[in-house]
Amino acid sequence: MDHALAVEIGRGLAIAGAGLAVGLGCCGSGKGIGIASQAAAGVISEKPDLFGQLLVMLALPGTQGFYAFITGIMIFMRTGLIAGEWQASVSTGVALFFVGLGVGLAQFVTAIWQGEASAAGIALVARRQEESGRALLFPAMVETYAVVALLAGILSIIWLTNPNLLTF
Amino acid sequence: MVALTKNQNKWGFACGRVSALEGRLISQETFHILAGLEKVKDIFNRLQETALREHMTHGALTWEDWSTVIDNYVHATILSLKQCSPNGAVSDLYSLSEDYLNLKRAVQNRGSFPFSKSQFDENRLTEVAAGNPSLLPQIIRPAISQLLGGLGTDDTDQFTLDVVLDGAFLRHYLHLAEQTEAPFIVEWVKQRVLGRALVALWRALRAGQSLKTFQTHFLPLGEFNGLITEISVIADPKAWGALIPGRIGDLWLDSFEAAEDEQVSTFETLLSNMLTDIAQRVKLQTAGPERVAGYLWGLWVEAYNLKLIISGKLNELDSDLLKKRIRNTYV
Repeated sequence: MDHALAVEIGRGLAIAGAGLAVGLGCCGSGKGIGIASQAAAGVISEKPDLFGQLLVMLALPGTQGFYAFITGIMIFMRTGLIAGEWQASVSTGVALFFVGLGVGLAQFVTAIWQGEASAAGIALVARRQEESGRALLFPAMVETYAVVALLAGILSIIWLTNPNLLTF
Repeated sequence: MVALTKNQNKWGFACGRVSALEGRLISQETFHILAGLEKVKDIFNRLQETALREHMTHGALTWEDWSTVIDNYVHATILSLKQCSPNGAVSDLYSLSEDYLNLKRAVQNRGSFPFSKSQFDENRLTEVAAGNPSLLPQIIRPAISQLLGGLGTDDTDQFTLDVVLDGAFLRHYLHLAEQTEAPFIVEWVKQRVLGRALVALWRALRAGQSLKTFQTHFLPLGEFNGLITEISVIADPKAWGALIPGRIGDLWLDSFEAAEDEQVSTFETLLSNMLTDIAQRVKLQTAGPERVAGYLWGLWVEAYNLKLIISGKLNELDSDLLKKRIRNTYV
């Protein structure tokens, strides 16, 4: 295969992976916030003074969208779309495509489950206002795995685009 | 055990409201305290701390005042939840009894329809009063048609009227449960329908009425047709216990341990407690029709307990007797 074509195919796949990461992550966050918002709106219609306590739980599923955005930007930067020059092979492009897809899926699923967990926490605060601290822990536990997926994605992108760092 | 529905996020808002409203339901302990108070005025003061206060007016001391206050409170809550629910059938399950009080007045051609209207609007009721049942749902139309024009005012005719309306109500109730598209609610409603049908038969038997009327005017009632036909030819209600399936059969036999004049009310209390016990499972659901149905059952039980205590106090009944009759609460 012609080297220039191979570089373009590799870069195209990597950018597609970035697009999937951002798209899936943001879709998941939107749905997660939607789930939590409906529950919160119902509670606030009866107890408006709980707005402040519910706001954090409402916003938590939104973090996955930012994690996906970071993953996408990382891929853009390392593939030379934003700055620099792409020198890697088709196989690296394929690998980055799947990194983007994997991170995107993880953010998508965790955002939705976090929305469900937030809605459950919101229901708990509605009944027992004094439990707001503990209620926040449930969606926060889901956040752990969104962060793990983000870290794995960042490390994979760095290692794949700079093979010299892969020394153990 | 039937599973709860999943991924019902469209119920999120209604269930969020329910989460807040559940915190305002009156607990079992509070009902025992209310039953121990000496005067209705003391109950009035205690209820100022509850969600009922918005519907209470000073000087509400007669039974009619209290009954109106409680009914308005329950109806306003049911209606407001219906407005924010994706499927109104869940709320309709709890407003249907008032509809049938209006329908009874329409069948008797008694003019006004003072009870809350949900399934049957003024126009439908006026048509029924004029002898035209065509605007009623198909599921009850044949039963109501046979009442129009052919009823007298003697006791037998009034008994037939009650039997026909009770059967129509329970059929309509089952039909609404199926419209909720929640298998848990359908199963729960079937238990309630069976219990109410048994109570209707038992009360008729105790009043010396013929149970054959139930075979001709009460049915059909889905899967309970066979059971009701079978027990309506047995004169000893205690023997029905061997035929009644599941937990309700056990409760039926348990109720015979009470004094004879309290057996029916004991069964009703045991049945209500069993339904509350089942309904409490839905508190684990974040969003779904079962959660709303469970809360409304809790509200229903609360209204019953309040009426029991207030009417008991107005009639100067013993506190211990009232405490014994308080039904288990949802919270």
